[in-house]
Amino acid sequence: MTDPILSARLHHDLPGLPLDVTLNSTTGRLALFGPSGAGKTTVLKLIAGLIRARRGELSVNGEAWDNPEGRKRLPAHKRRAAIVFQDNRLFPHMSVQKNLNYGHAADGARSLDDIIAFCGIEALLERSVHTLSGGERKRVAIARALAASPNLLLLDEPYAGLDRASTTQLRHDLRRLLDEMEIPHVFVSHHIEDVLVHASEVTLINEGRDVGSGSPQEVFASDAGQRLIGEADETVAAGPMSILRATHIKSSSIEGLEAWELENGRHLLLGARGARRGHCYMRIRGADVSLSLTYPEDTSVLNVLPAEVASLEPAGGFVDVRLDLGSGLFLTARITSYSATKLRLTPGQSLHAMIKSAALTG
Amino acid sequence: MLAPPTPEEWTAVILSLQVSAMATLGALPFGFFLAWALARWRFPGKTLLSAIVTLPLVIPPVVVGYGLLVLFGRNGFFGETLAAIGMRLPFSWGGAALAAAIMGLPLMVRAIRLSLEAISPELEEAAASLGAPPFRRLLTITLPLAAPGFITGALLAFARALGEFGATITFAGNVPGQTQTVPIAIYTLLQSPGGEIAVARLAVLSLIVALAALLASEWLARRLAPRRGEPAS
Repeated sequence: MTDPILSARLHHDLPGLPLDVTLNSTTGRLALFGPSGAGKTTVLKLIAGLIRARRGELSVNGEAWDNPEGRKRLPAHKRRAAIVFQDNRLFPHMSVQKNLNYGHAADGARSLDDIIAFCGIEALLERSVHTLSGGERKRVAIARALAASPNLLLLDEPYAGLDRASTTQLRHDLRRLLDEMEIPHVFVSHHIEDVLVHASEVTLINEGRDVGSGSPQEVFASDAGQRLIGEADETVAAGPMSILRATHIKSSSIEGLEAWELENGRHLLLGARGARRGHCYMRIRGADVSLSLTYPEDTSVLNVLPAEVASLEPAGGFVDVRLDLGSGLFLTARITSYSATKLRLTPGQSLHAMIKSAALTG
Repeated sequence: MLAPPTPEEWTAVILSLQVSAMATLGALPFGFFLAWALARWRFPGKTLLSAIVTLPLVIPPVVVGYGLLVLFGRNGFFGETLAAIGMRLPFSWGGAALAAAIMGLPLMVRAIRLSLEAISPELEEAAASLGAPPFRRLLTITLPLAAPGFITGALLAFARALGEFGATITFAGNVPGQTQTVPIAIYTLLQSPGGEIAVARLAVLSLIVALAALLASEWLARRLAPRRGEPAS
């Protein structure tokens, strides 16, 4: 087994919110997902040493930061766990350049110039932080944290308060940056899209407790995961959602589409955007999946996956049909009770699941 | 037209400036410490400490002077200790500075405390997470951001010291060249026949000094003001 990059058992008594969270990360790409007020930010502060844990154990890269007795405790400035705060916390009495210099570690793996270029803030260096836009501030905050050459980078809702265009651009840049710099990070968000872009491991946090952890695919397929998606992410429409990991294969022979391979070897076709390569997590809403007992010959739907009914769960006037796609992959379809009765669905039944390409987001 | 001030009058003005400057500088470390404790720490008796620090502002200055006499007089608690090392505060230059410092302290603490409270500890947290140890955080984040509060606090204390009368005359007396500051000199001159012209000269001089101090602080405050606070995004 690989040594964990981060291993933590954190306990803290906040007024009104007792916190008891266990975290493990072997990949260094961990996301904490949960609704607002669940205690995610507090977990980051406990890791950074800005709040003293009542009890707990914390080690990062094999180094003990908090020990079980709570006696030996590494102070925050020696941990070098740089936080990108939700509200940035740029130093108001310093220029952008001085903000960057503040924590700059000369022995860092990257030069400050590299980081500035990476973050795309060359033009801002002499500016006062007061004159920056929201997106610019966030970039400076990220660059400042990276310049400190942190052992661990903690990102607290980095896209909060940014408009959609800035978020998309920054998310893309940050993903590339973190991949290239190979800095272990913990990412806090209540948007599933952020988690899917940034994390290989997810821990669900709700009401101060960890309620599930594993790969995004596993975690979001679980009951707790499905419930929290609905509670936490107001941008997600109601209803079940499935997460499937897919690997980009090639631009397909059909113009304007690209092919992605699921872990069970099946292919999905997706409208080409040319931005992403490698792998991604696809989000498929239950309402975008339809079912057919026979192989659908005449249909505009491009993605047809053979499946077996695993379980049926009534949900109001609907039925959530959990489908086994093989190789441990599951997909949930939400169909009307009327359709379920008409198709006489029973567990174990074989059928075909259809997903519109236009509904797929990766 | 007023004649130029006499050497005695200049002595009073210069003594006033010296005593006030000494009182302000001497009070600054204490003022900072008290303001820091009141702004940042939680401890039992905090409200009481806050009230005690404010007391000189609300009780008659003569009572403060009397209290100082009790504490620092020949038989006072601190007086005996100081006498042992050959120091005597009552009716001395140092005593005038001490009285002025005590009277100015509440205003100084209030101003510094307000400015410390306005700095969010979150900026220090950010600095800590970037690897800055506590002393560096104090020097590079807290003190620069609190600078306007220090200037305001120091100026208020200085102005209060310039005008100090009751506690000074009670504790330090009325010794020309030693403890006879401008207000005490004016009071003395008013008691003696024919002193009106000198009183007018001293009044004008103290007006000029006070105005200059105020203008200097306005200028400093304006220079430092735009550096504070991050506007909402």
